[in-house]
Amino acid sequence: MGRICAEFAEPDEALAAHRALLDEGIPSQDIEIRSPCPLPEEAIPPHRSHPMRMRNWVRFFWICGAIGGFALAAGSQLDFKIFTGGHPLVSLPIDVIIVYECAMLTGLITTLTFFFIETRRYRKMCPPREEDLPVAEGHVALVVESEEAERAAGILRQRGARSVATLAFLVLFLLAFPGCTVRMRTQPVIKSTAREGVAQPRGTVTMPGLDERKHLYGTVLGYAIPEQVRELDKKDVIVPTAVMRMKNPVPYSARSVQRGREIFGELCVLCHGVKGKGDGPVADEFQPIPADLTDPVTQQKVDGELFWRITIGPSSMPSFYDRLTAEDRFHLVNFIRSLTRK
Amino acid sequence: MSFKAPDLSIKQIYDEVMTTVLGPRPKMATLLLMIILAAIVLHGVFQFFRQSFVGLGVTGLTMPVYWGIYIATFVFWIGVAHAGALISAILRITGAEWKSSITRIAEVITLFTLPAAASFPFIHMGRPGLFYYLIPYPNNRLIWPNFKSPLMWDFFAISTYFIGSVLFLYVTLIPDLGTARPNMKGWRKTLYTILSFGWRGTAEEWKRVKEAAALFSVLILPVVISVHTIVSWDFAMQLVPGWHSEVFGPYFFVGALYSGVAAVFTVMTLLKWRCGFKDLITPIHYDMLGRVFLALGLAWAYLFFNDFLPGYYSNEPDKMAYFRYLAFSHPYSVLFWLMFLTNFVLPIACLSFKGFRMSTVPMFLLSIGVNVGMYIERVLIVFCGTQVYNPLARNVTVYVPSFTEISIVAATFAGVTLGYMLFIRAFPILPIWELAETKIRQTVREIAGKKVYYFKSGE
Amino acid sequence: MSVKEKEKGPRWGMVADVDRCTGCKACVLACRSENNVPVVGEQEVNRGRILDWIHVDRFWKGEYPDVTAEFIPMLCQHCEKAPCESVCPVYASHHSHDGLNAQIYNRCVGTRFCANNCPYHVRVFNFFSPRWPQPLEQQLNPDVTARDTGVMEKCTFCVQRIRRAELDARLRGKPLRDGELRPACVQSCPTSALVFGDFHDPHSAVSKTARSPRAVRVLEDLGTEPRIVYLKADRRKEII
Repeated sequence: MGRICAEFAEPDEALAAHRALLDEGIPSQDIEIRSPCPLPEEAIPPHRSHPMRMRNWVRFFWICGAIGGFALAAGSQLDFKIFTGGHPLVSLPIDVIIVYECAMLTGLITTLTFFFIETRRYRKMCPPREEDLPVAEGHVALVVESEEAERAAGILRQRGARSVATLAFLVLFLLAFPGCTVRMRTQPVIKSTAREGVAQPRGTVTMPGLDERKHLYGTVLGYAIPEQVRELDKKDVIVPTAVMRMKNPVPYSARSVQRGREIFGELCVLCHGVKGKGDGPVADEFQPIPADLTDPVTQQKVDGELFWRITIGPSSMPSFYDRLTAEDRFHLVNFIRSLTRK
Repeated sequence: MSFKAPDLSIKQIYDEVMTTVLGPRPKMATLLLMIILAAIVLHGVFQFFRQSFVGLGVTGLTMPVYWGIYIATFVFWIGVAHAGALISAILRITGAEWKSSITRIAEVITLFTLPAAASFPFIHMGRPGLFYYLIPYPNNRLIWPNFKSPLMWDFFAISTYFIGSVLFLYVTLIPDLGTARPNMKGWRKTLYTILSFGWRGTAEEWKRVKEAAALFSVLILPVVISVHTIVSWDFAMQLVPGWHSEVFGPYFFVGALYSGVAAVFTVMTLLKWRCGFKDLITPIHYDMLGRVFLALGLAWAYLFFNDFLPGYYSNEPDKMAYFRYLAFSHPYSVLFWLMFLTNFVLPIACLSFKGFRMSTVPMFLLSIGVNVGMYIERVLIVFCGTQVYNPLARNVTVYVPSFTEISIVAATFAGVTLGYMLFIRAFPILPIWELAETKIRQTVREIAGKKVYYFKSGE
Repeated sequence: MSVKEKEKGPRWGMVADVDRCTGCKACVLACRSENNVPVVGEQEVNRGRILDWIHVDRFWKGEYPDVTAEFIPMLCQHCEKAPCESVCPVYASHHSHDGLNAQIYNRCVGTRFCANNCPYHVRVFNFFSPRWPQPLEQQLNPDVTARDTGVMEKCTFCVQRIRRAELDARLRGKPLRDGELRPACVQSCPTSALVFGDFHDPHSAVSKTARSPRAVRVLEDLGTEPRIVYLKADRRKEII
């Protein structure tokens, strides 16, 4: 097995020599013609020719991209039902723009991908070789690699060739998206003045803040909320025995769970996460971290205790006695039950 | 005089192109210029950070004019970035032989101007740290962006165009890198080896690189049309009288090509002056591209009149208020008529003459003039659209860009120039293989005692 | 929210009687204190960067000496087909389930697209971080978030009051009475030029007054379907 490389100053000479080799019976798949620029294709003698399927792949992936683009736009709009500007949720004339761009992007990337796939099929990803030098000089090289290399060399006024292999690596650049930061801590917070004890001008009517309104909802469903219960129970929740024994007045039903899910999606999901695993977007902000509601520890608690915990809010969880009616809190309890009851 | 390939062998073409890469070390003046440019860029970055910490109050933006010079420059850079697509795609599809000297010059303009453009929507944001809210990926905020917003279309269109044009540039660069690789030394050798992806120059590979280039041309042309149309829709979708215009799509697109070609002339002349491609960039190229330039200038003028004439004819009050504000009110009328002069009167008058088209320096000056005019056009559209009197708006002041804004805009200009200068040192700025191919495919026939050059079809 | 639910819920809206408005600007002040609207200072106001969710436009009518002033309170029109909503890339501006034109400050990235597209020019932008000069910080409302720099804000129809009233009504177990719920501007209007209520309820005060022949909407021909109805006897005016 020999390998030779012949160098020609003019492309026409190289093409003529190529033809001569074929005439002498050297199989065309053993000859490789290498040039610094594309040679006229009709002038190249028949050589190994693999079908070029790049176009069809681009067509195929263009359509895939269009479908993907539509799925992205329409899927996100259906997933995230927000109406804007009086347009329907999935508005075809508008989404067509996204579809179009996605299809084009896929087509462009497919072109490059299949360019690499199709060119790499015929050779290994090789490093510079000796025969690269004549090409770099602007010459055309004919590389013959076969049993009859000696004979071919004679025809082509032989030139020696040797190969040195080193490997080139394609560097992949991974684009890392910046992490999500929830700016709860940095934005300004306004505290109620009623509690801070700021000297108010005479005749000022104090507007109660959320915390001060507890007396408005002091009794719900017959259960009084002691004035200091929040501060005391924050650290170590003591559930009144009456509450522990209490039966859930709202029967477990699909309707109730649905209502619970709505409230959960509005108030709880940011900390407890969609699945109630305690992995919501802002969960990391808290120490201890929000409870995993699907955990047996939570699920083994009786309805009354869950109700009480939602009511007063243990640890860093806010209390909901002033934001949710007792009925809604029981809906939430039913929803928490539904997380593991399948 | 018809176009003919340069009278050089392939080796000579190679040597002439590679002088920018392998030539002597840059002179002191060039280094000094680069340092100054880098300083301008750094100052812009500093101003941007200052702006994002202090708030957008450091800009000149006020109540009715919420979009200022950032958006105007964004549109301008997007326009200049159209150069790459026009030269590479349109000329490749139409099989213009003279394109070879110009294609990569134009594509590299896109490579640097598009990121410059894309940075502006982020700079312009009130909270640039949250830019990733616009990226559609399944996130832990459980929220998707609004695909009905023109800004999302922008996001898609610009990223598609940027990815597309970088890949296009890369595919046509691979053969040159592969061919030049053995002659390289040091870091360039490593870079060329990695980027050329094992290119060897066999007939199979050539067939596929030409196929890929053809596919890219066909694919990128609709993208490029969509990019500037979508940028124009940022304005045209709005209920602002001066902006809500149906002709904005084609008007912006043609304007973009116009300024893109002007930018190619500017860069071409600078390259010819500094790097001396005297055989590769000839007056014939100027003539040929000048004809395209003239056609685009006429198309721009046509759409410009088309934008105003219906409103003027029917005395549409809102449109007329806008037009009067542009053309006859104090701060903007000077700019408006300057734009009219440099974008319409001068180019149409000058480019009609072949002698002018073939002279380098006048064409250079004209191209600068056109781009100044196009910049003014964008400034006028962006500033005046919201500044024009509207009974419900509370106009108190006229918008004037602040120092912060100007330094950030200047930073992008410096950054593009610096990027281009560095690119020239790292990669061949003319496509050697395309020039060589033109040379090979050229045949000469003598007809009636005259030499006629024509080219065998590449297909 | 499904379309059905959208139909069922209230459609909050307002009626502004221009003929009764005296231009006293009590509504402007009330809004500012209810919604923690920052004070930007004289210099910034001169530059046109005033922050106010409601303002009173003044128009002169007639020739000297027979001149009268006409006042039009302008606030977010809470359009059914709001132009500001669809242009927001991050859904910061969107239609809430009860049809309010809502603004989520935490979502807002400050592209100011909505402000450009608002034909009523009622959206305002925080060019700097909010600050309140010395005594003003003590009157801030704990129920309303403060908006940071780079955030677009506008009238919310005092959504905190709406939500609280709805909650109170639910705890009470009785539906909300008409006129019980009033945004700060309506509450403070001395001439009762502003009326707030549910357009869905045909017997509410707003529904009744909106049927008046004097009723007009601002820039009605744009098709934005504003929720605020203006009452005005004299129709010869440039905007409404």
